[in-house]
Amino acid sequence: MKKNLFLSLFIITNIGFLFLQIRKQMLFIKESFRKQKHERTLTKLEQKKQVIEHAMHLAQNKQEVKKYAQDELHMKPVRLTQLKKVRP
Amino acid sequence: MMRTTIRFNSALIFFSFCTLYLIILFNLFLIQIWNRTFFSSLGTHQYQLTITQLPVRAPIYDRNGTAQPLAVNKECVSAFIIPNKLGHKEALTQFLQEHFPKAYQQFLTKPNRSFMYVKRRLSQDEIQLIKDAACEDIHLLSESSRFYPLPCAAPVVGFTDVDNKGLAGIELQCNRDLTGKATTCYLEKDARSGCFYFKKELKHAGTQSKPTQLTIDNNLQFLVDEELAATMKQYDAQEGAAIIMDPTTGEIISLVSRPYDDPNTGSFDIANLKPRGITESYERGSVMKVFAALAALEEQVVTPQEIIDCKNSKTCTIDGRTINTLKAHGRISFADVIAFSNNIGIAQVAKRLNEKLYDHYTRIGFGRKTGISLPGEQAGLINHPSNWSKQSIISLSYGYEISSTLLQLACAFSMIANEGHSIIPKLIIDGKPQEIRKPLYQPETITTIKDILRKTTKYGTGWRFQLKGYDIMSKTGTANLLENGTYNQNKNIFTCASIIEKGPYKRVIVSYIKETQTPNAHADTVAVPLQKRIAEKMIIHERVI
Repeated sequence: MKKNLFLSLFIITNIGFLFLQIRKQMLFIKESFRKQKHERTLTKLEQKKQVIEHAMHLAQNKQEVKKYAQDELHMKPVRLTQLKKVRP
Repeated sequence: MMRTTIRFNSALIFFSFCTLYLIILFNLFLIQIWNRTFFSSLGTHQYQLTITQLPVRAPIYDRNGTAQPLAVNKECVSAFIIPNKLGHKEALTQFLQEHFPKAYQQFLTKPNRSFMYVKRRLSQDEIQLIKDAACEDIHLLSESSRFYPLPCAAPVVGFTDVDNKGLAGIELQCNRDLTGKATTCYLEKDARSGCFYFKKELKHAGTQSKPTQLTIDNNLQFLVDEELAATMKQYDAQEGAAIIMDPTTGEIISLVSRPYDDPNTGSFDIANLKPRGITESYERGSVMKVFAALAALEEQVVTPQEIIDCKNSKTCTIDGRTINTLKAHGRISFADVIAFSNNIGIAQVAKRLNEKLYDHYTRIGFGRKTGISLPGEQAGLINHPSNWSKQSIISLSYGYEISSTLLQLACAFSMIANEGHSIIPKLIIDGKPQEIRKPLYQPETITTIKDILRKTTKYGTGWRFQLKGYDIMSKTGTANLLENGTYNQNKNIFTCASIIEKGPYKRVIVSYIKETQTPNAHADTVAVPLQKRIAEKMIIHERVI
């Protein structure tokens, strides 16, 4: 009787461990897939960032900025003689 | 009879199954044992993958850091085909023939290859054209390419090829750091999707790419370029360059050269992307008198007050050599010989130095590379005494038979500004301090030459370059250009070099303008006003008011 009970418990425990191992592996794969999805999103976002940065640099073209400042804002280049140092 | 039939049928079924099993066993033998290598490699190909990933090419920044990049990455699209797996070959060939004839020709040479680029770095129009054609065999691939926000810095920054490998300038010099090292990984993936992997193993760890920070100031570079462009336009000049340098640290704050092409356009002339201040060496003319004077003062063959007879003529013959000078001067002090840039006066003093002049030129750094290690740097040339004619010493005294780059001139003036200590010019901020070297000249000699240069600005050839409140020391040089072995009087190069000081603030500016279309132009009318405008912009920009 004791022997049968021991055998049953032994088999059940082993099966339990087997299921736990399978579960662990499943969770691992699931998390690995999630991580890979995040990695892909990150790559896409980095690509988008690059596109936006490129657009920003194009907008910051110094020639264009200068033209805008002079034509639209009526700004003029400063000459050294126009500057005065104010001493406190 | 009935029993016999049943037996026969049973035997038939038994043998059929046996045969079936034998076939299965045979196939298993074929798969598992006979063709084991083939199938195992097929499996490996389907499930296992080795990928090599190169890090993203690092950006290049200016001296102000990340806010002012000089080279960044941008997304670009390339088109490719898989020639050995084409669905609609005829439609594809027709499309390629019509719109991408180069790719079509390439396709015809090897129609069964496994991969072929139609075109890399497509323009927006070309992308739209491919999309509109809806050709299933043409695939689009997103790639990274370089973008240079400040095209006038391109001659220094350089450019890359289609594979993002540095080909010129800093892109070439720092290619290893900017590229990094590739990482190789081993993946175990799902045989069907290919989207995800189960296992990732690092086979070879690479290194991250490192950004490079230059000593160039993005804004000042733009301002100097504007001034250079304006002067070149005013005089219809062929070429020009300017350098601003911090003489104490050796840092090059601006290095501009014109003409240049915009590397962002994709179609540019490589010859127009050279940093001319480093790659072009010319005979500089009278600006070299400073160093002849430096040598004469150091060797004590002359004093600044000594009266030199400049023959009161624009032309004079010494040792059979006719010397021309811009203005006739009579008996003037040696300091004024330099200030007024009199060729006759300096030639007489240089004769006292003889071969020692060559030693001084080499001591200052002419005739050898500066150590900036930018690709394409020229060493310049000094006529060696063994090759001298009787007149060589005369030529050398006012800047002929010696060619130098603008950077060498900047370094030589930095040495004067730096109380005789020579420096190695720097374009990259690497945290290493400038090596302090022994002074090349005695402090008294340096003080004297500085005084002479002040006089040059005060009432000499550099008089147009006066800025109230700033200590300006400058010298100009106009030289005829060599053409087919003879000096062309109508083709000149106008150089100006100057030191600007205000308290601890020190800057060296050197610039040249080559081949103007204006007759009778001289450095004091072409290069000096340019130098002054550059200095003004620099002072305002650096807020040294």
